[in-house]
Amino acid sequence: MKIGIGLPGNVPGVKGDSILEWARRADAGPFSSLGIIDRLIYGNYEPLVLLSAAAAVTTRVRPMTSVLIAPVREAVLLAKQAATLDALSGGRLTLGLGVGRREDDYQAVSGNFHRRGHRFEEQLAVMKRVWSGEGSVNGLPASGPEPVQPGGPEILIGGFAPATIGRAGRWADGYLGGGDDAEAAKSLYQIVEDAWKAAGRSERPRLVATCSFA
Amino acid sequence: MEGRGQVRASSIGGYLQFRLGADAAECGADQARHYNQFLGAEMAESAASGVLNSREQVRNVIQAISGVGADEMLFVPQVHDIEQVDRLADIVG
Repeated sequence: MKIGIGLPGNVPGVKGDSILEWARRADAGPFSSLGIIDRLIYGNYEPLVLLSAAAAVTTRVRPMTSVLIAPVREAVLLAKQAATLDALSGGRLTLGLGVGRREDDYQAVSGNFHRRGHRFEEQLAVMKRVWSGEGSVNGLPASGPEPVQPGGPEILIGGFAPATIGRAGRWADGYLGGGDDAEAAKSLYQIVEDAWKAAGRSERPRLVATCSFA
Repeated sequence: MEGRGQVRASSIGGYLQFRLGADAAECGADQARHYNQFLGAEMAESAASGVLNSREQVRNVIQAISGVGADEMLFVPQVHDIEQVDRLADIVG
């Protein structure tokens, strides 16, 4: 099993140079990915900007949002940012996406918390269209740059609601969730595998667990 | 995360500092509690007590989660002390 490590951009007060040194050490160590959580009304670093800097000081480890709250962002812009990061990192980006659980993050961008699942579904369709070069929205052509990973960065979807897991089966390469309680994770992963089957997919989902350490 | 010994000496900014694993554990629990306070006191406390802070806990969790089919385990830090990277690397490497 691969082992990833989060960047400490989730801990308020951490200095920028300290985060970059953390990224360099992780890249030189046994870690597969550099994760970062997302939140708006909190003292954390913005994930895509943070991972872009981390990608610039690393060569091997995969930058990974774990997870980015998609519906508080605009889909075409998010697709462009993710494609940019994928291109800058040489195709290393894993884009973990979810809808979050905090209404204040939606209020901060005048978003609709209660329609977040519906909006997320629409965003996934738009982003896939942009990355594949088919187009974007309102009849406009696709936006570049072209991602290094064909069809766009690897996508993981995180969350626990049945609708979220179903969405992962339709759109994602894998699922992010479960962690320090292995029995709970086992039940969750069964539901995820069922969602993959329901979507007619023969391959297994990539399953990424998370936990906290100090 | 605990170092190899109970007390670890390190030089940061020219000052010699002693850091206890227990200090990191307490700071980490505080951070997890703070981050999760929007979920209510009970959930925040559960998050705080779920922060792994020993070699044994980390190894046990890795073994358990790989046993149920996970392909990757992401360890999210709750303190930003740079030595945490090396300590975790020592355990999982």
